[in-house]
Amino acid sequence: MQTIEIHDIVPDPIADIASKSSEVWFKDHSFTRGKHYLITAESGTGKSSFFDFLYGRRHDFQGSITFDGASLHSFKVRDWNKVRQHNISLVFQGFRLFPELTVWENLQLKNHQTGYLSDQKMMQMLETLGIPEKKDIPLRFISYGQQQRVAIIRAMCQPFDFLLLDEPFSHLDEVNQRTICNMVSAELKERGASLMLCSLGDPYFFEYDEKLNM
Amino acid sequence: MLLWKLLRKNIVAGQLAGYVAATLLGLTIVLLSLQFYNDLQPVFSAKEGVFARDYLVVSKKVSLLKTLKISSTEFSKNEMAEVQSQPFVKRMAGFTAATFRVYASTAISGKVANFGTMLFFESVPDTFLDINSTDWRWSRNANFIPIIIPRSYLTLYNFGFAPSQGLPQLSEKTIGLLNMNIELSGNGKDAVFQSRIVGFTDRINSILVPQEFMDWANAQFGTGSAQPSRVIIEPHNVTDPKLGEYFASHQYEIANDKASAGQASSFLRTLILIVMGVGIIITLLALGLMLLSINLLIQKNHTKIENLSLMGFSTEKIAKPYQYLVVILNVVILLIALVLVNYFRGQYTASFNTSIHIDDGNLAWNYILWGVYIVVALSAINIGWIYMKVKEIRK
Repeated sequence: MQTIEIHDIVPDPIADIASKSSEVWFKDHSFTRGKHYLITAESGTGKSSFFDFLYGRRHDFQGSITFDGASLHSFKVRDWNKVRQHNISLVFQGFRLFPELTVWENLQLKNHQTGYLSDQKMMQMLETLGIPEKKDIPLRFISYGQQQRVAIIRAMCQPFDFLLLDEPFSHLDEVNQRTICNMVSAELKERGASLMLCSLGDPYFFEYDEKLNM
Repeated sequence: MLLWKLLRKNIVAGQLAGYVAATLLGLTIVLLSLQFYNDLQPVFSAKEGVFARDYLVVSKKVSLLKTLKISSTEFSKNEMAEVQSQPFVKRMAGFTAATFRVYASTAISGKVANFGTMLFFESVPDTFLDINSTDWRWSRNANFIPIIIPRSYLTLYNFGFAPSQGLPQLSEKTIGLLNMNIELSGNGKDAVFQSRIVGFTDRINSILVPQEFMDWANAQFGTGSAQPSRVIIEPHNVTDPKLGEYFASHQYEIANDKASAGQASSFLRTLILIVMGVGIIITLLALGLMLLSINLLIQKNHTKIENLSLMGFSTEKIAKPYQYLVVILNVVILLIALVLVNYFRGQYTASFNTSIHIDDGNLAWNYILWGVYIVVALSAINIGWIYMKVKEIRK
């Protein structure tokens, strides 16, 4: 998938109150594979909604969004499954990991879909982020910050053209943030993929091609 | 495997056990009644001539007037024609009575006692008999007469006569080996024939010889032709109430109460159908229980299923562990039900052994096949339901 285009979109619930000066809502914009985007937004301006639209979780928006020219309105469940397995990877706020599975099983569950990463590579990522010893521990027994790192590694366990990060590093200290940003940047570079990062303002340790204010 | 590990949480073993028990009960009842029906099919639809339920033997009531020979127990040609014309009669024939004297004698082996008695013969057309025995054949040159007697006569002999006279009891097979001399006399002639009992009947209370022989013998030794005093009737439906009404209004008697045997068999059939119906209802209730359990289970795993679909898992893939679960349960239920049906069948076969012969070889694939049908149907409904419920969550 090369481009995501938005055309005059706004979430239904805030259609009346959304700021006309937003660089996302009510605008035409194109996001291209390989480029890095920072979307800054205040609380309640709908940044999570934007990612939900791109990820097919919600469809309650006006205007149109297209993936390589194909309108999302025409997408079926099957199409979304394909997008979620191959084109877009999203780190959710709240992670949506499975507490009853171990760290390793959480990663395997995602990686088994495409077999994208080798076990070795996944292990290496756990080591890079400093949690290799948590591998076989059920997820519910590790800290929130550690879970956040697992969620980020899980997002790497599939091919993608766009990586969507929504307030991704809120529970991590600066050292950890830097480590993760380096790892993610390397992955993005290797895959030639885009980064779309939503944040209240913090740019973290990425370089951006474009910054949009929501 | 990981999916199963994830999704098996919240499965309530008790609910599954309830489903298994209830379905097992329902399925076993349904299959057992099917098998039972199948086993009794020969009894319901026997076509072995006089052994069949479909034949009635009708005679007139013997009254004082008839004893005094003022009126006759014979059926006149008109009366025969009238019975024949009734809508419930499929076909009928009169009994032909012998109009000559019969004396039978034998020496029972081991005893030097000569055993002789006056006898009588009757005959009905062979088409009402369908006797399979190759011995049931008479030819003018052979000097041999095959005989069929009512089974009750043998019982009478074995348990009444033989013990009181110190004679040996005889099985059907042994008595069939016994050779008898038959003397016929009348019309100024007599002759001696060899004879054997070649079959037994539960239905016709008479001593039967082949029609062909009877026609010949009546012509040779007979003293005047006689109208039949008994008729054998094959009705379209033996349980037809009009049939009983007609005979009662004409003061005719139905021998051996075959009509009530027919009613009994139709009652039994109804009973089996009711039992089967109960089995089906239990099975359906069990199915309902399972659908509700599935509903509950999927609701409890709501978040997980939602998260899995956000990871890009297809509905089919998420539904599969649950679908496998119910299919495996259903197969287990089927296997246990088949074992149970087989066991109970053994039980009732043994207990009916004395009254009804059930062909062991008739262990039909029938009920196995029906079991497979039912389980496939149950599984299909479950599978569809699971898919639908998972899909609902995705929305």
